[in-house]
Amino acid sequence: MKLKHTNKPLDVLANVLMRLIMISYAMVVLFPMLWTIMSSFKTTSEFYQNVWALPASFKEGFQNYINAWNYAEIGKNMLNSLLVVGVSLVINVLLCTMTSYAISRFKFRGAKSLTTLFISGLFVPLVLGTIPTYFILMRLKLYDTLIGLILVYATYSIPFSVFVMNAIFQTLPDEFAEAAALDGCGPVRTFWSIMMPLATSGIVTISIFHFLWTWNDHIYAMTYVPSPANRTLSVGLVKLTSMAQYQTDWGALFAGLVIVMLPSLIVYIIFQNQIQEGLTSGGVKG
Amino acid sequence: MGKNKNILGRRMDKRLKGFLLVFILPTLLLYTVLYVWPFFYAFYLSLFRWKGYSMDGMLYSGLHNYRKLISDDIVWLGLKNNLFFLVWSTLIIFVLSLFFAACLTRNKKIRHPNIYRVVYFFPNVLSIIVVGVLWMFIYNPSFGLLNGILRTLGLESWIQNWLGDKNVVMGALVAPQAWMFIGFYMVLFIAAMQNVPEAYYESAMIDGAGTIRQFFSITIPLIWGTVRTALVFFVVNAFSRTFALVNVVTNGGPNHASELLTTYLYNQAFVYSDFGYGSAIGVFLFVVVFVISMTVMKLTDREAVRY
Repeated sequence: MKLKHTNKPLDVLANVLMRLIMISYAMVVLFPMLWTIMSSFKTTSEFYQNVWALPASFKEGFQNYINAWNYAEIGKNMLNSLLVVGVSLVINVLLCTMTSYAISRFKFRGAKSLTTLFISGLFVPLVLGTIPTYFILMRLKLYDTLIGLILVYATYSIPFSVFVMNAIFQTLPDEFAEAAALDGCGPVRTFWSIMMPLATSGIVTISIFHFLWTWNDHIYAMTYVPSPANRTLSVGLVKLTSMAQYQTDWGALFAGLVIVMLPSLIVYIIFQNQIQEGLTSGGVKG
Repeated sequence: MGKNKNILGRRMDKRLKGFLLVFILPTLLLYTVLYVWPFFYAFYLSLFRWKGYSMDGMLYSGLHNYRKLISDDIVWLGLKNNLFFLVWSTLIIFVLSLFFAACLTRNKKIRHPNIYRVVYFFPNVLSIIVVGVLWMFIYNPSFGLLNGILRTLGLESWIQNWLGDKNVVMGALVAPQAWMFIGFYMVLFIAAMQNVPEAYYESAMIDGAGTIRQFFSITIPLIWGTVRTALVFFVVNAFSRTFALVNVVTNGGPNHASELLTTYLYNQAFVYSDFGYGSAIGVFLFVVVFVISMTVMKLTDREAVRY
């Protein structure tokens, strides 16, 4: 106890220091976000006047949102994004849940190697595949089609989704499946009505992660579906960035940023517990 | 596991086989065509020269692309820049995220640890373009936030053209990466640290070990497995991640100063249609990533402490 006593002033100092650092970093994270939202309501001349000033009028500033919406065709791009993200999500989640169930709960020759094959994809740099995939999509007549992008997105999430779902299925007890089998349920029925519902937490996790990365991707969308009609929201924002530089309409660009940010922000706020749990249960457990 | 088969018995074997096929084959097909096959195909494509955009203009050229690669200064510059990012972003991200995770799990006096968790993780859900454009404006020489802060603090001499100066641009690009990923790794480490039994810290306290000593002799050894996996995962993905960011913010400029192997690969293929050379750079990149991750595995391979 003596030792603890002599340490006290130092402990207090360390505590204060720690808290100061934590609070400053929270500001480093939050401040640019608030600044973006504020700037999205400024006119271009206000941009050059004072970095710190509040926008003169939020009502006039809203014009930026209308401009962004019109220039970048955000409405159309958003529909494309919703379509591509939504359909690829359903495909990925359905396929990976089925496959993980089969390879993690049934013993057959090749089950182990299949698991390794799917999960090792996590450790390969994806950039290497961009050029070949471009040619494969051309061969399949899927280049510059939304279907092509949907299949690419559905495929690129496979390693992570299988990884998470395997971990979940392995922890489910055998009793339910056995009882179902005794009642005469085939494996498909058992999967649909018993195992799927038990694995809901994993399904939510892989859906959120798939949503976040596909919603935020611009590289693959830009490369595999280049024509303006197929633009997703992220690619639209890239175009808006270069356009804003010519026309120096910064307000519109910031409004565009906020529009793209919003859905991720909402998903994050609603599911933040699920996201953080999924990240750790999907287990980089060593 | 596997008990289902015993119960179902032999007569069900055929049905079981059909079930396995239906459940596995579609995924395997997609994965093979768009994930595994492109990987091997890249090696093949790197042996060709290109004329035009389609596959009709392919000319077999043996190792020509690799010879070109070895004597291409930009490739080596790109590698150097990739390694610069790798070292600095790893250092900053892992040190800070371990520090924050330790603060939030060990220091019971910090109020509302969950709020910090939510806030710190937040940049990770943003699109790289949003992060990229955001930092372009933070760095903007005329109305950017950073120069504004420096001006307010009276540090006029520190004002820079952050993204336009070839001596500063690389450093400037590390910050957004750290900003984006510190929270992610912090959450990972918090989960690992919460599994360390309290009893270890209590007995260390009785022995008189201070907070810092506890961190290095208890926390770090006990969560080493997690740190190691995270490190390998980070290294493999670092190359794709930095690419998406640099592609938006500088696209390798000014004058190749922030060129990466990945930006160079991408531009060679999709801007100059030299797909063969792009593929060769990709293969080179793969070898580099492989060597680095193996090295990281070797270097971090300590006896894991069990508890």
